[in-house]
Amino acid sequence: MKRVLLAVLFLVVMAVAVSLGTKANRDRAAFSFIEPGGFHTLDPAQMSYVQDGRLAKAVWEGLTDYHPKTTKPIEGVAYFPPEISEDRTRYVFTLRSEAKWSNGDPVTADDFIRGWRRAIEPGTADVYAELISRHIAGAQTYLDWRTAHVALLGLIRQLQTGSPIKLEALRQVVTGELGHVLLDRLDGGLNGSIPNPIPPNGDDFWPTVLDGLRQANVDWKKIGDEGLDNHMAQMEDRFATVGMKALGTHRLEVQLVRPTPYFLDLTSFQTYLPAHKSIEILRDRYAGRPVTDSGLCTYDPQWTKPDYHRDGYPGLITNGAYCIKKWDFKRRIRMEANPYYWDRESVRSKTMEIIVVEYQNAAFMQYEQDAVDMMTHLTMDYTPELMRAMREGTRDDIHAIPAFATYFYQFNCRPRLHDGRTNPLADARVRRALSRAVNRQDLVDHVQRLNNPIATTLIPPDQIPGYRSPAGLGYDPQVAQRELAEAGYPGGEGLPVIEILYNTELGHEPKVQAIKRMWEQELGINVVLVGKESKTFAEDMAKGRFMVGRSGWFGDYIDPSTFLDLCQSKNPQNYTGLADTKYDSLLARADEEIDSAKRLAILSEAERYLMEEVLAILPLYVYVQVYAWGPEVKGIYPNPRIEFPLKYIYVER
Amino acid sequence: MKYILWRLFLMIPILWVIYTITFLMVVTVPGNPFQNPDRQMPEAIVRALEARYKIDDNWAYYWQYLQGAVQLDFGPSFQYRDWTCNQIIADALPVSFTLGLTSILLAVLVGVPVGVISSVRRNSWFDVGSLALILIGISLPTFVTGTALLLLFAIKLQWLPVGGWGQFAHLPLPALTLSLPFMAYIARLTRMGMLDVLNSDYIRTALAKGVARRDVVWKHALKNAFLPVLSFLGPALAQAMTGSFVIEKLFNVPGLGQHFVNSVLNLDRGLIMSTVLVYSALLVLMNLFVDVTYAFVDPRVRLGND
Repeated sequence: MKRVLLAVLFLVVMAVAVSLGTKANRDRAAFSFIEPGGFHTLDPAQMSYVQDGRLAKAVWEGLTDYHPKTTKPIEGVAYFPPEISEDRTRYVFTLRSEAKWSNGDPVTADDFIRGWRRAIEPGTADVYAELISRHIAGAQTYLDWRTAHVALLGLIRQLQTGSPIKLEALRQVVTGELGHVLLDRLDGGLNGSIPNPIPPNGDDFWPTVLDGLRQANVDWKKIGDEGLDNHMAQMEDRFATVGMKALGTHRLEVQLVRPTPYFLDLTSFQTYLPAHKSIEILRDRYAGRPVTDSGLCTYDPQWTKPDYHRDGYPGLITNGAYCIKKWDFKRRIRMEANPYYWDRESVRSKTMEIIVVEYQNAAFMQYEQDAVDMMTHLTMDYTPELMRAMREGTRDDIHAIPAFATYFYQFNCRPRLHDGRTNPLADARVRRALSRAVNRQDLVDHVQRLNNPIATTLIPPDQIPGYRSPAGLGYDPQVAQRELAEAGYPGGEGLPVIEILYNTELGHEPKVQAIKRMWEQELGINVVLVGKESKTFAEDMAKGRFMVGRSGWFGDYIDPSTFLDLCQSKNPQNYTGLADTKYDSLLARADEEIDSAKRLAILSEAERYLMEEVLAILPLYVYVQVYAWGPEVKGIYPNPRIEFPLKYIYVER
Repeated sequence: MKYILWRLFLMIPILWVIYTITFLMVVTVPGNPFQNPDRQMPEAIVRALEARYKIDDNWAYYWQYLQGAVQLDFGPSFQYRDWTCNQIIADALPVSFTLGLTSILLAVLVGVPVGVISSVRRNSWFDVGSLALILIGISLPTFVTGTALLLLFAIKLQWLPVGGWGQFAHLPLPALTLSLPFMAYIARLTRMGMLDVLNSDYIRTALAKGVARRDVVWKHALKNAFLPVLSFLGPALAQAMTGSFVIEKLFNVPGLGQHFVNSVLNLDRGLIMSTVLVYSALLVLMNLFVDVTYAFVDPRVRLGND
């Protein structure tokens, strides 16, 4: 009897445990697909991953959209085309009155200003803030002004709480415009000024200043609060100088820094999406002020959840083709057609589900088992075999799409390396020699094996209408050896060991090994491979701690500048350290050229100069993205920008 | 009772030491959690992010996080910005729990009888055969056995789904894969324990007295032979329940194991600390549970001083 009772108890416990651990089954959505890699954030101002952007553009809608076949800008919330001034720097967008948020509220010009502002405000600004700050007049000035004050206030708060302070941060604030706020507080000694020339990092001067500030008999909290109020009082007036204004509820005026032929391409990008006013409920507040104590504009990150209701927040409200019904972390996102979307007639699939599977093989197996209709971004080891099956006709669902993206190595062009050694790659002849010694066709045929087009230029050719790509340098080992000898290293003798830095995940290893072998064989030099995990690799690249570094770039908009700006000397994305005045001046001249054709010609010359003479970049091949969807999936049109607006996709059953 | 309270009290300093050691390791690891490998951010923004997530001041972060942890608030995740660690763990822990519990129960339900029968029929085909299988079960890594089971049951026979979580059908394959090493070990332990016990005097007495052979083996002998298995179950339960990274990846089970590994790779401090603390707390509790059960099962063991 006792045994039976125990057995029953055990079964009950098991049943409860199993039911708690598993959740009810869902009925299948009209269209479902697997997104390997998962979503990092749903905040449009903060996202940088392709899949995050894809989801954001399905759930929100910008002023313009991408045409599903040509990816050219077409109408979105605003009528197309907008009014454009003679000098092409002033745009006025008229928003359609039928455009509504998912709670019925009309979409207004202020909603766009709110969304664009979030992208540049310190606190929410992230990697893509530059897409707004570099193009909209006054945005960079506003961002710089805010950042300087946030840095100062941050320091004051650290003095207030006694937290450790980085001397570099102190130096930057003290030598900036606002430095006097701190220096004036120092008792005696400095007389409120800094010596000229400014002492460098590591000099004893800075610890002395820090000690002086710490010992000063000052109420830092009061100074911080007063400074914050002062800053807030000016903030709105300052923001009014930024080139985005609401001329009424449904007209948005935008003033650009310079004529930007691709601006309407940018307005479809996720950084330019609007934000509903309910987000203000979840703004972090410091003693009643709508900022943190150091002036950062931050929000409760839970605002992106459809079921979050703190302080009366209604849950995520969006204006795009779909609303998010449920977001199960790392499992699935369930979406339904937005009943208030102005173009709801053209939304084909009324329900959509995105399933997250981290492991590539598991993802593909689920796709094969027909659990979903599509899988994005196949990167399994056997993907080349799948592509072959597609070519031979035994499969009909593998799609290889050459992307608007290049896989390349970056050369460190600085005269010295991070540890003080002389940099052999500072000589362009060495870089050209290394470039000519790489047999890209071999690399693509035997290592990468996705039929990638080889790349001798930074920008994938034939993808920007009206732009003529230069030839670049091809595989020519003899010329390579000759140039290496001219540089002073005949037969590779005397050349210091060349290090290639790469991240060990994601299949980069076989390629670096191939390149190493090519260089050793063709040029007789010594190559060492430095493999690191992603985050350390990223930091080393950003800080210039490399000789040759593995890299790549996806074009964000259809214009050469998205690639060519990478080597501009002042660009923080420029890891090569290249500071070439001729290159910079070519880019600057292009910036001022109003005639579109002439501008593209100048940029073409800049690329030719970069890829045939300077060689700060060693291009290898054009990325090929492999997606899997069967012939019954319609409304999806392969394009190099990998833009597949979800609202057009449906399954023909 | 006093013993249990004492052990529970000891948990606090143990967890605190674990927290400190983990924290030291986390802040010494190089790399910036906010660095994207492909795009560089303006320095001011990086510093604003660091200030927001309060990683600019390690000492303050140590105490502040500890305060939060004591109130079971594990803070935001750095990598998954829209989620808090509490949400992530609350989501993943029941999954790992169910998977782990099921696999351990499976391991016991199959392993113990196999061990018993092997010990009774020593050197028979069954014994040798099961010994071979046990060796395979312990030696083969889970990604091999898991993939083999997947290929057979999910792909070839199509009896079960390939992966995922949410229906009962998602449970058998990963639970079976996870249970195999434990099953093998438990069978081995049972067999050894039984062989030990079956030679004792009281067993011979019982048989001589005419007690049914089945009762002797399954009731009297097993009760004592089970003790080594019981002490193994403590850490085994903790290990199984906090998820196996390999199994979760292979079967796409959204459990806790992946967060252990991914949080370190992403330098997601909040998530690292919280997963380590949860795992440690579970481990300590499981060990305590087993020790207490041991005392009940074996009257020779007295808790505390005697």
